[in-house]
Amino acid sequence: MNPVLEIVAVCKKFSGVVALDDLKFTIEEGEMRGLVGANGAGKTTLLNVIGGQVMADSGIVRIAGLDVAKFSPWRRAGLGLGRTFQESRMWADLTTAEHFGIAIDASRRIAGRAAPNHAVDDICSLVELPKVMLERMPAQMRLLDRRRVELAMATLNASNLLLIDEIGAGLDVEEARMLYRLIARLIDRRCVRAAILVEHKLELLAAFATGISLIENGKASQHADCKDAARLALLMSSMFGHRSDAAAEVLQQRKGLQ
Amino acid sequence: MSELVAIIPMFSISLVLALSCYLVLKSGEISFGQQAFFGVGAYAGGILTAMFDWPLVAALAVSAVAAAAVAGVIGFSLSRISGFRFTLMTLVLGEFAKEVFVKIEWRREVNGQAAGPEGPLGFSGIEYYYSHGIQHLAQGLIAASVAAGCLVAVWVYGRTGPGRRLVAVASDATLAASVSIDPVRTRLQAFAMAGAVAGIGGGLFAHQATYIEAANFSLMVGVHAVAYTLLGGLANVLGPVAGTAFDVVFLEGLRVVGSYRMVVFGSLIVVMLILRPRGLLGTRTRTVP
Amino acid sequence: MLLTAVEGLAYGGLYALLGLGFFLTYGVLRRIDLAYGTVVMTSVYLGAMMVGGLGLPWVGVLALTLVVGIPLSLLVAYLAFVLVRQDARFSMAATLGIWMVLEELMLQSPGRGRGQAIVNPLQDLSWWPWGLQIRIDHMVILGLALAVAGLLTRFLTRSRTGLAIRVSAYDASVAALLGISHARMMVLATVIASAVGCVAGWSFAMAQSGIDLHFGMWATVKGLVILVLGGTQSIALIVTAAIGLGVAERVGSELIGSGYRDLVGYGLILALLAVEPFLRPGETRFGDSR
Ligand SMILES: Nc1ncnc2c1ncn2[C@@H]1O[C@H](COP(=O)(O)OP(=O)(O)OP(=O)(O)O)[C@@H](O)[C@H]1O
Ligand SMILES: [Mg+2]
Repeated sequence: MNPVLEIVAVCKKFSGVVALDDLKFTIEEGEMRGLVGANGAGKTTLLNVIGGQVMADSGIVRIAGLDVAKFSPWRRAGLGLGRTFQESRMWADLTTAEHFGIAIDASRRIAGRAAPNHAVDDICSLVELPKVMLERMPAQMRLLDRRRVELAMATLNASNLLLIDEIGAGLDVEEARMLYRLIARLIDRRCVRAAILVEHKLELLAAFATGISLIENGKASQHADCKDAARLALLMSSMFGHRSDAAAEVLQQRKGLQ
Repeated sequence: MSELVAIIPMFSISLVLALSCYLVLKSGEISFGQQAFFGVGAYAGGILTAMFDWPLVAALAVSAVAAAAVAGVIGFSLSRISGFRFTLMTLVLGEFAKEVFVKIEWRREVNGQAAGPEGPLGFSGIEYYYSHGIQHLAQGLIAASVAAGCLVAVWVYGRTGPGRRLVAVASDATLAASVSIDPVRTRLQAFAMAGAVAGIGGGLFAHQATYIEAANFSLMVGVHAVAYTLLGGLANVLGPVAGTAFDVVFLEGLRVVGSYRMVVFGSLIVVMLILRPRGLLGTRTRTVP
Repeated sequence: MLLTAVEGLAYGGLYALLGLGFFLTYGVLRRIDLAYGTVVMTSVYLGAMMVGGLGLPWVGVLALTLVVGIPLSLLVAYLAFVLVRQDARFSMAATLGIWMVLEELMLQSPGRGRGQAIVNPLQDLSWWPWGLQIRIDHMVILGLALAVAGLLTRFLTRSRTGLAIRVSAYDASVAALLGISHARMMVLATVIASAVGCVAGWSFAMAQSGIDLHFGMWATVKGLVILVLGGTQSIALIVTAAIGLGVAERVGSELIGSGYRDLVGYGLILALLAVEPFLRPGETRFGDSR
């Protein structure tokens, strides 16, 4: 079986600034891979290169074995790639129900009749969205509910891979944890095959991810399996530098959050 | 009463063109070139009835198809650009089309008389209504029912998949693409449909006016149609109806302001954009329950 | 042929002046003013009408044009860009409303929208190098355009006021921090843009020995096209694009026949605009990023 995602030698420069530098990266079925790294390390750019929002200068991006590096974003989405964005994004003058209607319609058009016939009710329960939200406009919803809607829309298309960019930003830890539980459940239920999570709060990743990659200077410099406490500690200590006590603290919190 | 009947055809034709602009505006762009497709429809429809004795309905259908085809070709590029460049390109398209219309020259013997467009002299003798004995009331009825048909078509379009996708693309194309909507194709469909609607309007216009020339398809015509829609609002298809009614019935039909109509209309647009930018009918806003 | 190319240079000079006006309004102020050409036309038209009525010398036209044009531009800017603030597209639509009003007012004016004659002091003066007839007034327009371009470049890059305008247009709050009055800078830039436009309109009208209503929208379209072709990065590019378009249009219509001049001109521009989205690199494709 092909890996869900395979990235080989991807480079991306923004007018001279190197954002991704000969990056190599693989995601297998069932994985929930956390991405960490300093601000400006290139995490969002990596997701954009996978999703097609940004075209790589060179390199290969394979989704389920197919090189999509030259495909436009909507075609990649049609190949089972869903994503949420770092900033919350919804269509400003459409209700939640209309959002779902459009996303369902679009995914069925791409996948043809073979696509699962999602009902709006199922989607709501999938992301635990209260029904009253269906008639609301984005401006009338709090951030947590908007994030639920975005997650649901991404999932509708993401039979292969879900890309999540800092979905917890601006929410408190408790709310963020709720969202990550939903994502973990999506993978358990095989709604999506794998997910990539960009998140600054390491304790959340340690609790929910199966593995963590550190992005530094546009390269995936280290990987650690979340079961491998020693490697995890190593990754964290290289991330925090001298503050190695912070790493121990994170590992402590991990149990409590799960 | 008879005055009202007299303005029905003009109102209907203006409304059809405004609906075309409404479709483009729904995609988040302003087109000042819909009069080009209006002109394509007018020439196509006129040529078919005046030179080849086609029935009106078939001629209008071809008007729509021809204008949609032209819109589809130009839309291949237009659907990939947005904002100011889009508007500029439609503006240039309109001026270019006008220059092309001046050059259309095609004469043909029909029932012993030469018919067809005569280049800079225009295209006269589109006398389908006259030769088929269609009177004023019937003309109004034809125009009104065609306009109503376009209205319903645009309304239905807005409530089905392509129309909804269009709103999504207009609102945030990146988000739309991330749920596997092709933004370019969605916009292209809308643009071709807008072209078809304008083409039908042009076909109606040619038969109503019996004489057309390039000057009928000037920028002013396109700008008016956009202004009607902005005036009425983009909330739903009633926006263009309200805007068109205001200008055609109130300012022109009733001749309230005499020869300063354009001055009043232009000022009105500015004032509306300052005071009520969402148009007479506003756009949908919902309050928190 | 060569002669046509030289004539094209003069048109290029005119386009350059128009392009510079748009460079200031769009490139610096971020405004799309579709009434720009019409404001210029109105000013020249009124100037010509008054001078004709009062029997003033030819410089009077330029002076009156500026006297009418600058306040009118400020009024347009205030209405369309200060009072209409919701959306740049709405501002653009408002400028079209203003365009309508002005053009119609000119039709209703004592001039009745008919062409107004303007005395050309350099008429019939020509220069004959290598057996070519070159009109002096054409060369004056070209020289004027290059001079204005040079002055503007110096002003925007070297002078404190020029920098202040750019900072202020870029971010009003940054400008406020630096003690620059945003409103004053906007007014100043509008005045300069308007003055450049008035000079362009006047010199064009002079070379044509008259002005009519068509000039308004024609100038706007040409100015915007130059802006698109030349980009908003540098004045030198704008001038190059303008002169290139001027020459290409003249030579093109000479090759195909003068009856097709506007057809060729607009067709050329349309083709350029149409292929442009396909020439840009992948990442700026529509819908990929915003
Ligand atoms: N569209 C763009 N144009 C120019 N530069 C960009 C663009 N997008 C990203 N960059 C640059 O690329 C680098 C990587 O940015 P990126 O957004 O991927 O970082 P990140 O890891 O997601 O950071 P953060 O944690 O702040 O979200 C940064 O230096 C950024 O300035
Ligand atoms: Mg980021």
